[in-house]
Parts: sequence; C-alpha cells; structure tokens
Amino acid sequence: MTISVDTGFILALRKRHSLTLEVWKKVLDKKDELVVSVLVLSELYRLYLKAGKPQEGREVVESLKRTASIKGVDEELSLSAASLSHREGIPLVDSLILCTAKKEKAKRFYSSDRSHFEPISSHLRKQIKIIFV
Amino acid sequence: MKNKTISFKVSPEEYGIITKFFRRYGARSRVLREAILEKAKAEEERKKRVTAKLFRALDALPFSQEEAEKVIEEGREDDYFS
Repeated sequence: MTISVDTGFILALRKRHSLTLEVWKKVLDKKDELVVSVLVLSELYRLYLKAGKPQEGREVVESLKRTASIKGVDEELSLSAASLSHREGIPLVDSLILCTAKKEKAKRFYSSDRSHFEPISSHLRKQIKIIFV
Repeated sequence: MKNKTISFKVSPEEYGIITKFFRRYGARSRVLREAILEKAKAEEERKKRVTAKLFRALDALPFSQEEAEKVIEEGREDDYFS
C-alpha cells in the first residue's frame, strides 16, 4: 500500500509512539511504500537550520531519501493544491503536501496537524484516509 | 553447464516453497538457504542503520514537538490563509 506523511509525522517519530513506529517499520519492511513531498524535506531542513544544526538536517533528509520516494511539484499538482487551499482554507504548503499524496494515490496520509487537516478529512475520505499521530 | 548467479528477494513463505522445490529436484537447498539468510541478515542491518541514523538526527533537534510545529507554521506566515 502507498502511504504518505507530513513534516509533523517525521518529527513525531521522536516520541517513539507505537503507531508511528509501526508505520516506519512497515515502510522499512517494504510492506508499505512511502511517498513524501519535497516540501517536507524543505520544512525539515529549515527547522534544523533554525536550530543551528545543518549537518543533522542533512542526515534526516538523506535517511528519508533512502526510505521514501520523494516527489516534486509540477504544474498539475500546483494548480490542484491551489484549488484545495482556496476551497478548504488551509495553508498552501499543507495543501501541496496533501495533494502530492493524493496524486501518488496514497491510501493513507499520516499527520500531526489536526488543526488544518481534521476539518477536511471527512471531505476527502473517499480519496485518502487522514490518520493523526 | 556454466554456473550462474541469481539474486532475488523472498518472503519466509516463498523461502519454504523454494526450498521444497529444490529438495524435490535434488538441488542444494543448504546453499540456497545460507544465501537467503545472509541476504536477510544484511537487510536487517540496513534497516537498523537507517533507523539509527534518522533517530539520532531527529533527537538532536533542540525543539519539542510543539516548538517545532510553531517554527514550521512561522515558515508559512506568508501563506494566503495564515
């Protein structure tokens, strides 16, 4: 099964909760295929720059590149994300990350961002299941 | 007949089927078993390495989950809706 995650999910791995660890294990075991928007890498790296730890930021990016398929933004994706952002009133970056998952036909999207994704999860339930960690 | 090297990934169930097939047709299942176990061991080590590296880097971040999410939100401050 194809799955996707947002930046908050990667950061939530630090808590070692059973759900996040189970998702990570399934990806490593190749039971699930992980697709990640390039914007997640960008947000993570910026966070490490802000913390003054660029080397660790590079290591997170490299680890994700080894385990996930990293997807960029093209015209079709940018327009569908703009529509979703406008329609649902969510930030454009969130919309780009979620639309990447939808475009790659991910069945599940794991996120820690309840405030932006919970209100729209029911609208999208036929296309993708949003699971909060 | 020339020796040929083959390489493939198998699950434990597939391994059972393959070794049964090799036993039935007289091939050297021990060699095959060892090759598969060695490959499985290397794969397990790879998973441990990748996970350890990621978690080490994640743990080095001096922000809590809430602080990190706040920094991410600040990065979106020019967004249309935020």
